[in-house]
Amino acid sequence: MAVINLKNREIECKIVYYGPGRCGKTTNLEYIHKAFKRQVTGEMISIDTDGDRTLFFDFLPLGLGKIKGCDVKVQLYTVPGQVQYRSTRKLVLKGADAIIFVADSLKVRREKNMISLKDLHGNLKETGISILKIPLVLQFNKRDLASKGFPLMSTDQMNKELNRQLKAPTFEASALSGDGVGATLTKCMKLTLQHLQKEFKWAQ
Amino acid sequence: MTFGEKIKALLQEAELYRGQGLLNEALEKFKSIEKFIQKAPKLKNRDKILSKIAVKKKAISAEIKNFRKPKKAPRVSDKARELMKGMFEAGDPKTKGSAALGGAISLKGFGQYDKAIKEFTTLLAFDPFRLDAAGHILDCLMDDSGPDAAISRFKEWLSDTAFTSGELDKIRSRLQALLDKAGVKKDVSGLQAGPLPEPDSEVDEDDILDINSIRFKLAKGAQKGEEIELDVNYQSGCVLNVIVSKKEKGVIEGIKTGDMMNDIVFYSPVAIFSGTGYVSDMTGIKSGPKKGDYSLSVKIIRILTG
Ligand SMILES: Nc1nc2c(ncn2[C@@H]2O[C@H](COP(=O)(O)OP(=O)(O)OP(=O)(O)O)[C@@H](O)[C@H]2O)c(=O)[nH]1
Ligand SMILES: [Mg+2]
Repeated sequence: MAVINLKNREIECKIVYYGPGRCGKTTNLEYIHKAFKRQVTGEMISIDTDGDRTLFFDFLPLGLGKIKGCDVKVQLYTVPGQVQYRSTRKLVLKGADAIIFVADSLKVRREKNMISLKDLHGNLKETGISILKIPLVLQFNKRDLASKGFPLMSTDQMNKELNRQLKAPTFEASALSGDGVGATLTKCMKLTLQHLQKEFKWAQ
Repeated sequence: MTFGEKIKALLQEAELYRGQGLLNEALEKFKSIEKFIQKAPKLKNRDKILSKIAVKKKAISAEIKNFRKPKKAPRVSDKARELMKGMFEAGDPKTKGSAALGGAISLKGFGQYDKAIKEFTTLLAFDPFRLDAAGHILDCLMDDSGPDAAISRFKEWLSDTAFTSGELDKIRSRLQALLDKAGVKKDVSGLQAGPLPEPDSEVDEDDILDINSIRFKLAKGAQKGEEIELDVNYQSGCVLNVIVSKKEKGVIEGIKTGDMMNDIVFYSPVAIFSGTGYVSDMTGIKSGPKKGDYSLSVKIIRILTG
C-alpha cells in the first residue's frame, strides 16, 4: 500500500515489475537507473549471485518531485522470474500499488508469458487483490530482435493471448536500448496516481 | 535462402537464446539443428558443424545442471540486508500480526538463517507465534548447523523456564519429526533437562509446620496470572507433594520443573505464612488410578516472617 501523508503532502508508492524469467525486468530497471539520473534518489540494489538471474529482487528508489502539490516518491521492484521463486515473488508483491508486466516477445517464450501472468493473477488473488482492479501496464519487450530476423510474436498475437480480458495499456519496448521503457513507467505512474486519487483524494 | 544460410540463421538463433540465459531453449534449438543437418549428407563442413554442435550441447547441459543444483544462501550486501530488514523484520508482532512470522519464514527460505533465527527468537515472546517460531528455529539450526545444534537448542529450552511443559512436548515432537525427515536416527522422547542446580534452602526442616494447602499465582501458560490453590498430598520435611488433576490443563501448562515460585502462601492448621518455593519435580503420573494427573513437588526454600 502506498504511504500517503496528507499533512506533509507526501506519497510513496510501490511498483513491481513482473514477468517470466529472462524477459528483461532487471534490464528495465538498469535502464531507468542510467537514463533517469535526476529522478533516481538512491542506489539500485540487486541481489543476484547466480549470473544475472535475479534471485530475490532488484530495488530502485525514484523521486518524481511535486505532482499536484504532493511530493511523489516511487519504489521500483523486480521479482525473480524463475518459476521456483514463487514465495519470494509473493513477498515482493506485498503492498504493491501497481504492476508492470513485462512479456517476452520471443516466440519460444510464448507459454512462459502465460504461465507468469497466471502466477501473478493467483498471487494477487491470495492477497485479496483483483488483477482487474490494480493499475497494470503490459510491456512487450525485446522488439529489437525482430529486425535481426529472430522469431518474435506479433503484438497482435500477444495482445490477444495476454490482454484480452485485462485490456491494459500496452507498450512495445526494447529494454536493452531503452526504447519504450520510460513510456511504460510513465503510463504506469499515471494510472497509479489516478487510482490513489480515487481512493485517497490526495491531489489539491 | 540457401541451405547453408538457413543453418547459419538457426545457429545464430540458438546462440541468441544462450546469450539471453534461455538455456533450455538454446539446447532444444541445437538439437533440432543437429537433426536437420543429419538429414543433409551433402552439406559442406557437415562433420565440423556437427561436432561443434555436440560441444555446445554438452556445455549448455552442464550449465543447466549446475543451475539446478541447490544454491547456498546468496551473499547479500549490507544495503540489501537493510532493505530486507524493512521488508521482512518481525517488527512489532502485535501490529504486524502473522506477517511477522511470514517475514522470518521468508528469510529462512532464503537461507538467511542467522537473521531468521534472530527474528524467530523475537517472536518467541509472543504467545500466538511462540510454538511456530520455536519449530522454525530448530528447522533453521538443522539446515544450517545440523541435528546436534537443533538438539542442543532444545535441551537449552528444557532447562530454562521459557516454555511450559505442554509446549515443550509439542516442540519435542516437532523436533522428532524434523530429525525423522532428515533421516537422522535419534530419539528425543527421553531427552531430559540436565540436572538443575537446586537453590540452597534457607529453612530448617524441623521448623516447618505441617502444611495442608498452598496458594500461588501461575507465572505462565493460558491461565497466567491466576491464583491457584492446591491441597498438599504429602509432605516430607520442606518438600511438599501436590497432585494436579489432568483436568487442570492451564495449571499443568503453567508449571515446570525448575520454576521458582516467589510468592507462595502456605496454609497450616495453626498459621498462614508466605515464602518462596522451587519446583523440584513436575511429572505426569503414568499408571494407577491417578494416571494422567501430574505430581508436583515444591521445595520450600524461604519463609517470610513478620
Ligand atoms: N535483445 C534484447 N535483449 C534483452 C532485452 N531486454 C533484456 N534482454 C536480455 O535478456 C536477458 C535477461 O534480462 P534480465 O533483465 O536479466 O531478465 P529478468 O526478467 O530480470 O530475468 P530474471 O531475473 O531471471 O527474472 C539479458 O541477457 C538481457 O540482456 C531487449 O529488449 N532486447
Ligand atoms: Mg532480474
